[in-house]
Amino acid sequence: MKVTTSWLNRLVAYECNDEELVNLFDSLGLEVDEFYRAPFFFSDVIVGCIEELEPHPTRSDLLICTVLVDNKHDKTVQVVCGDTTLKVKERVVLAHDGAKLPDGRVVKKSKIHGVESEGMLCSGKELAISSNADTVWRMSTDQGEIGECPGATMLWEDNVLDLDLTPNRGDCFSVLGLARELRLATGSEFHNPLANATLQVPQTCSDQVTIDIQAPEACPIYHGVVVKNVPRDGVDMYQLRKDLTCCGLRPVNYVVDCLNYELLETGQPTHAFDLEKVKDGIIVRFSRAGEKILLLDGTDVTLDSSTLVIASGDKPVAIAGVMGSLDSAVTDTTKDILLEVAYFTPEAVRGTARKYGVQTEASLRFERGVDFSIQVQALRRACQRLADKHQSSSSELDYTTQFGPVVSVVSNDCLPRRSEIFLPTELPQKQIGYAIDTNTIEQMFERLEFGFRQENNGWWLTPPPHRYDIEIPEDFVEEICRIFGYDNIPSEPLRKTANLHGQKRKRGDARELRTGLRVLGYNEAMTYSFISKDSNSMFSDSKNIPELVNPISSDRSVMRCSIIPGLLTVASYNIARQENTLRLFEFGQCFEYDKSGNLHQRDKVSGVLLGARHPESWASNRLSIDFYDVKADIESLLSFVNIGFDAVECKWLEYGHCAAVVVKENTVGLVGKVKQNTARNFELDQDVFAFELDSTLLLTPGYTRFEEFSPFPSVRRDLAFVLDKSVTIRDIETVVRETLNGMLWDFVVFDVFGGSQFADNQHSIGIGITLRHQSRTLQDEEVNNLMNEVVEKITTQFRAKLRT
Amino acid sequence: MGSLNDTFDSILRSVQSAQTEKDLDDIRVQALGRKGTITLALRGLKDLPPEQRPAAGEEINNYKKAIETALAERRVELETTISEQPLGVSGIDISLPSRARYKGSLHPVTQAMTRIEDIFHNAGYDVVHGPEIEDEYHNFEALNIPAGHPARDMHDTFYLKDGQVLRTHTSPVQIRTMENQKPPIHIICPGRVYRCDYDRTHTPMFHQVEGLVVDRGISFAHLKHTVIEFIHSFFEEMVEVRFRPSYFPFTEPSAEVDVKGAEGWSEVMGCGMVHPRVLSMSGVDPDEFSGFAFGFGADRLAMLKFGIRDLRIMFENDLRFLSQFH
Repeated sequence: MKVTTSWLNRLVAYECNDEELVNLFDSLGLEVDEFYRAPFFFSDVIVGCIEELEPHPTRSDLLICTVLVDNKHDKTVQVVCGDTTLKVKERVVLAHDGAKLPDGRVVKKSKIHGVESEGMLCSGKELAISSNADTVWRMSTDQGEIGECPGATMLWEDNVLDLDLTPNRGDCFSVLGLARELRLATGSEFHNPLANATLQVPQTCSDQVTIDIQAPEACPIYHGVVVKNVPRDGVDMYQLRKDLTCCGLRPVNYVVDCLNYELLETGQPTHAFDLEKVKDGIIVRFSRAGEKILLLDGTDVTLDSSTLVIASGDKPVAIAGVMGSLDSAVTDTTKDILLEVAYFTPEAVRGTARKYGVQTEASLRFERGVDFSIQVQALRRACQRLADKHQSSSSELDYTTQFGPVVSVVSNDCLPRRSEIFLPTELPQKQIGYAIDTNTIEQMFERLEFGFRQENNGWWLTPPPHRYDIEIPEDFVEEICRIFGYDNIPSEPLRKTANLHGQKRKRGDARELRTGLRVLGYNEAMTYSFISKDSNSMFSDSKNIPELVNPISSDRSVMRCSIIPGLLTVASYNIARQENTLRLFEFGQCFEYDKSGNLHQRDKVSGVLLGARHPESWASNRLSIDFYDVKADIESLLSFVNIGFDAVECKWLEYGHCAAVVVKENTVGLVGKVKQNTARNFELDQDVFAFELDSTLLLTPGYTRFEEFSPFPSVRRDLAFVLDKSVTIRDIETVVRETLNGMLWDFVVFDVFGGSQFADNQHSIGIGITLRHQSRTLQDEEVNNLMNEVVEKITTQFRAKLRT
Repeated sequence: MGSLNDTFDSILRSVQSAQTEKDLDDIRVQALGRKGTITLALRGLKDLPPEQRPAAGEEINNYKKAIETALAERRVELETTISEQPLGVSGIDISLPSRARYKGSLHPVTQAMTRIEDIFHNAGYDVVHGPEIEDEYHNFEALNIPAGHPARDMHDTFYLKDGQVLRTHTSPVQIRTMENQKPPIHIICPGRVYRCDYDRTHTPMFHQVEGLVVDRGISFAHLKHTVIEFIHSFFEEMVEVRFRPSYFPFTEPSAEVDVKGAEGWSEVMGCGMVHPRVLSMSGVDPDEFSGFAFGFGADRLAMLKFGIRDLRIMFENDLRFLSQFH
């Protein structure tokens, strides 16, 4: 909601400077988003005087004007203009080369049909003060000096407050509402524009249309009046139009501008129909599914069955409280209108504007709640303004304008209720934590226009009809706090003793994993949880993936089932920016439906690696990352739990270069080399390794229990075998472990190599076995015997040869 | 014995002129080693007449002690001298780059979240997490935002085809906690939230931390204290804090909290007293208990703390950005 300080000042005689005013609104909970000087839309626009007029050499519809722009120095500029009604000595508004107009247009020096034009003479429409675009705006001699900005005299100079109002304060969507709040805070004198009780609509003709309210629960009040011979335009409209423009509304035409002015001032939306189009009478009803209406902003709408509409005959002419149809709209040439002043309930309008994508000044107010006691008065004011083409607010009405009888349909029992609410005396103190004197509180109620009566232990309070946000006793407490000032409420420490039992410590929580990966040299990324359908389907069956109805863009239309696509995108983004080695990780939720349609949301921690194993250095070769680097990282990261690696198949990891990470026979994640075609989809040509762990499965409760270790010395023996490459180290380790029966202390593979000295499918492996007995020193002879047994088993079971 | 005295003097001289540790070692072997001059002289004592032995023995032992002392002193001298020599002459070039490892980093939002969690954890709050895909009841209705309520416009909600929503705040976690736990409740709920919005200060995904305290006798004054303490603790500075009335359907009274920085006031969080309807919908008796709640964007606090001006850079994941946050 935008409002000018001058308009506010006309309603409430506040006395504070601009900064104080801003702070005042802020402290009332009416947040000031911006505060600025009004003639923001002008630059390089000055008052000029026509000195000479010459016909254009080739075009009869153009004049060459010499405009005096500096009286003292006799300076003139030459402008080509299309208004042939101009006369010498007339005062005009000249926009210089480079001038910015209210509609954002920038004026340029140019040649018009061969004649130099150094600027432009502005029409009323270009100055946003009239709907007339055909003729140049004339200034009277008392409106500003030649060469000066016309702002001051034309009342353009003003301050604009742009308020960011919360949805509960529908009552503040008007100058009246804001003035009320200022009065509340300052106690200044206040003039309610609706308070003029003597205002009447003079009935001067008998024309009327029938009004049939078929949905009184949605439209409890409807007043309609026929207005004939509406003036085509006012005489002196610029203050009104400047106020509209400053408050963010574009001048449209006389009728609309007058009605918009009323809307801004009182908060009551009104609507004007072309009388010709509603002759058949007005019906207020809910729409029928499939009915169509072309709205005046050009939106073509097909209605559902629950939209409140204004219909005439069989045809909807407006979506109630939102917007009228293009067909029934009032134009510059409309002479006779039907003026509608209605009260639509918030429930009836709420959601409609959003549903059809048309938010209007009217819908904004109706859906938040309009004061339901002001319609009659608003109607009188609107009629008065329409008839008063001088905008003088005097009784000097234009009696060529005629008014029919006011047709009113009011269903009092459908109006919102304002029932009494009991506020116990002790509640404010209990809620606020500070005692505010009851007299002060009662003064606040008076200023808030709350009806109240005291009872022994509290107040019975009735909120006024303009307030829709007061429903429970706590709402009154908020009002008290607001007026008392939040900053005046003292702060008090919470008497709380920490829960010493605390939360149970878990190993493998987000913090431990993140820190672990950071130490291992990974950079933490954060990617959006929504990704493209295509990339997600590379990682999961597409029917398992939750899809958004209203994605921010089509490449962010589904919820991720894996973090890997996000990280691959990040990798490719950085590769394109000259990085060549990346270790990235992310921690976050992933989403997937299971076979029975249940949604699973699980925390995952994932990593993507590519490039060199070590930073470039004199001390290391430029080796590329391989599977065993990632495996090492996982082992190091998960050192708090026993993990194993099982060969598996996976949708996105290369067959034979992919392992499941296993904890106690449960798969907790995957690690391996990303399939080449998957990587290529992310524009990555190099080898990419990745891991993804289900972090909820990694959480390990408590602490490790200490085990007594053997104090006896260990014995190490090394063995080397030549065997088939298909024999895995795990096979060999299992044999060793079983044979040594609890005496295996450590098992290392110190050597793996192939070469021409072996058959193609064979290689040599060297293993180091460290033995230790739990309760005695091992003897050489028994170690020899055990080793012989190991050799025997490995050579026979795996057809291996012992190398000597 | 004259010759022994000369030998002794020459040994002492060579100790004084020794330049390296090795020189000293050689001298020690020559004099005191198994075949050293002094050792041989001591062995030669047995050839002397018995009455001369004690005097000669004492003299040789004195020589021996004197040489040992001289060696030790010279060794200290040499060590001191070496450290005064230019680097590189006798040591390694320690400026040669190390066998470096890659330096990892933690995202600024993570760092801010960690700090926030620590502050509240130390004050006895539990940290609670919840699902990011929520049902409309927990995201809206239970928070006093019925369907069609204008407050839903404040939350540009992402809807899923199955009818659920991406949570627009972490408040649903508070609801779930109240449904399952009797007061007193002291929790914070950190996590990702989603709203359809994108500009310099809005991204469709961001991070929120919300707090909830429900107990007997909780007041707005307690809320103010908690919020101010938190802000001072987070920024590690006694920044100026102000409270403005505001509106949230789930709190009454509601407030917006601003912090004063170099460029004036900036909004950092929303808070208020939990709406009695919210309490009772989640099974907490509002006549017996009251509570306060607060919520803020962790990204926004991280921006203020780390001096980041554009929120969008947080989720671009440019390494030149990420790697700054070790």
